[in-house]
Amino acid sequence: MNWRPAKRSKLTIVLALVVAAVSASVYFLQPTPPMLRDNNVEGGFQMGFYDVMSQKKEIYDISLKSTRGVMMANITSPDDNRFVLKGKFTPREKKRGKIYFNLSPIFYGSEKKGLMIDGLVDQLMYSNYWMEPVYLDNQSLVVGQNGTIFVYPVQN
Amino acid sequence: MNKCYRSVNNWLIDVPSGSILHLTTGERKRLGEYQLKLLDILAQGAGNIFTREELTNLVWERRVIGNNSLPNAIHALRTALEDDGKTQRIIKTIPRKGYLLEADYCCVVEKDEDEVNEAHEEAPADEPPLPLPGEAAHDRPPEPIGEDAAPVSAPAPIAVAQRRPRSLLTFLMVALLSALVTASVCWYLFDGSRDRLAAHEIQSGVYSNIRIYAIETTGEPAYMSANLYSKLKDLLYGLDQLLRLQSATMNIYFYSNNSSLSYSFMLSNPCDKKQLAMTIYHWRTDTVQLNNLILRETRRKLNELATCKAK
Repeated sequence: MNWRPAKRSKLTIVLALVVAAVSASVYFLQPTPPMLRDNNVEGGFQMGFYDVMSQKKEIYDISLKSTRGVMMANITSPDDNRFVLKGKFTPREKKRGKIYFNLSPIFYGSEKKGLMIDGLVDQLMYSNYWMEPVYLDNQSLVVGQNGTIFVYPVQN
Repeated sequence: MNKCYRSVNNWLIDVPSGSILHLTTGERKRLGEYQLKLLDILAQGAGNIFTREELTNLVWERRVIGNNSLPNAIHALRTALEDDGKTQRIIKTIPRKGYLLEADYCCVVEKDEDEVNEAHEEAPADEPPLPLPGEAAHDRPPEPIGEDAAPVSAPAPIAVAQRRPRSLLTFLMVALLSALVTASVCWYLFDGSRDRLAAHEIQSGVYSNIRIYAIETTGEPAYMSANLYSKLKDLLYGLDQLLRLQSATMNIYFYSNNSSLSYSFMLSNPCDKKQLAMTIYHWRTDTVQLNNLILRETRRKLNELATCKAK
């Protein structure tokens, strides 16, 4: 059987297919970060906002639970039992190592105004908040868009 | 630049390169000098009968050639042009007269010279041309002009069969190269290390119970870690002693975008772990207050750490 030499146009099509296949593989075979991979991980940590200049301090307890790739967050304040933020973080896209989330607020209640956490709440509510997993030896860190660093799975 | 070329049965005669180029598939076949010259002469006078003597004089001029040279060259051309001695669709043998190239298969095409040359450059350079009449004539029986019998020996090697492995290899190499380049580009775009955060340990081995990790954007100078460490150095010595007394260890992670400092620590002892993620605004304004704040919060979490029962 004599093979006919490929036409240049067909060669281009085949190369385009190779390029498309490799792109798709690279895109879809990116490692899933543990914060989405581990199912039913539950834990929490404490988060604090401090202002050295005005000597203000706000402490919050963060409780996180991930189920089937969705993260449920519950933020409460040990100093103010009226402060509650409950929401569901759904990963929207992965881009350059960052995972962008949509927050679906379930409940938000705060009596006080002018809290330092309000900046974070606003960011969570009205923008696609991203978190970036950072791998370090045998630890898995997560850095949030506002700079918050925590070890995941979380321990309080 | 466009140039006029003769073509026979869709094979463009490219005299400078000594080959014929298929107009549709782009396949190129190298021909011997005299075979190409013969084809060119036949194409120039397409539809006219050339006698054996005329062709011999025009092609080989004053060279002394064997009796079989012309029939062999004709045979090679037929094979190259996908014609054969039986059907004689393209090159006809006119009994007792000579040869004729069927005018229906000939035309003049205008083609970009660069495109023709480019195709030539892509063709393998070491591909042997179809055998020259003088070379092959000795082991091939004469092709009688009157009867035009089918050749006994194997037909002249066609470039297709020889091109195949090399073309396939080239194609595979190009495909592999494309895959590699694409993978690299995709990695760079989708998940590349550019603008990624990376953690690295600083002041390793300085403290017995504290490990400090700076988180920085890849590629940026690590001045921040040195800057913060110089502000907290004395505090960390004190905390290290405190941790040693309580048999606890602490991992510190920090990251700063200048306006605020993210300082998190994880306290651990054999039976408990506590972590606090601190976001400190205006951290550069007062180093003493920054130290006091971190000391206070570390102590607070250290006090929350469960005490291990002695076994």
